[in-house]
Amino acid sequence: MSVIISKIEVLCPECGCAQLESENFLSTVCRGCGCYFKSSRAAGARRRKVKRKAIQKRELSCADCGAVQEVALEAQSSTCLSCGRHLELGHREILGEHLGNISLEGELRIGPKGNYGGSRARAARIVLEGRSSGFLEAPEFLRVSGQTRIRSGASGGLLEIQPGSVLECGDRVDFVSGRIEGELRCPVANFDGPLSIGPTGSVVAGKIQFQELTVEPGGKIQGWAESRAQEGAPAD
Amino acid sequence: MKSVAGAEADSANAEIPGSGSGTFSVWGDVRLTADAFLRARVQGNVQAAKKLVLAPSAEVSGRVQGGDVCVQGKIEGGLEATGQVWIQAGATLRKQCVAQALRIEPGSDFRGELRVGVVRA
Repeated sequence: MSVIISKIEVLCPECGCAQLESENFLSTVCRGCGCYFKSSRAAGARRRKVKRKAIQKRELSCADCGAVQEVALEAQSSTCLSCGRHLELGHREILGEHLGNISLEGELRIGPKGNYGGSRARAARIVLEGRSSGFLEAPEFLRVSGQTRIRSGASGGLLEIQPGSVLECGDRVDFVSGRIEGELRCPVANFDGPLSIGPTGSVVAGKIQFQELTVEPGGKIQGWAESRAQEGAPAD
Repeated sequence: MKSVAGAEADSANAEIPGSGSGTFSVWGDVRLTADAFLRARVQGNVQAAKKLVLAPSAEVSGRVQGGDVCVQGKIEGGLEATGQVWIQAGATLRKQCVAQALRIEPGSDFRGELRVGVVRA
């Protein structure tokens, strides 16, 4: 069975000579001047550029070596390109007893009956509703809800204690900033930035350091305190 | 330098003068019964019944007591306020701060015992 291929007349862009080509042609050579030229479709004049959906990425720092790399926003795990460490990016919930160290880039929730018994847990965000024997490190925030206790210390970005909640810490807490609406009891509380104590908040510590402090009417704070100099401020 | 021994002011808005033409110093305690703005150096204690503002040029070697107190100057002997306390950038407070509400701005210098919203036992 023969197939009839329809022809179209095309003009050479160099000499203007007309010749017949298949209607699906992509490129040809002018029979008049020998010039090679592409069809308008192949040249992309009419082709609509379809942008591939850009993959959203985020920066991820290795918990061990600190090397920074980019991973897809949806990624659940990755491997550090520098030290080869496996990086867990998902979330985890502790509802009972958990032993062993944890390091994840997602959120860790220690439930009201949860007890973290490892020596160190690191997660970008930690929601503490129960107890922890080990050190908690939360670069983004540590949110405290309920009657909680950390036998060792804690550090991270923002320490947030919700109204009616209590955090009792056996060792020092080191955070960038703090928003205390509940109760904080610890030997040393260090905030590199602002510390804010709401009307229902209370801080009792042996030593309190901050750069900026606000205690709203009704809020309480008690201890030996020291304001820290601003970074970049000229020394006396 | 001008100086007096002790001072007492009870006008509607008292102002212990400052360093317009030199440093004004008070040797002894100062008692203020109205809202006051203090710009002098005081070698003693300051007791204000109402609001008190310590200007950047004010220096108190002793203890300051007042209602609402705004500190821009220097207090060496501690501060006890029955209301709110503002410690502004550039201010220095040593020894103690007792208040019902408190704001310590960045750039201020505080070191001492802090007791806010806590009723003395």
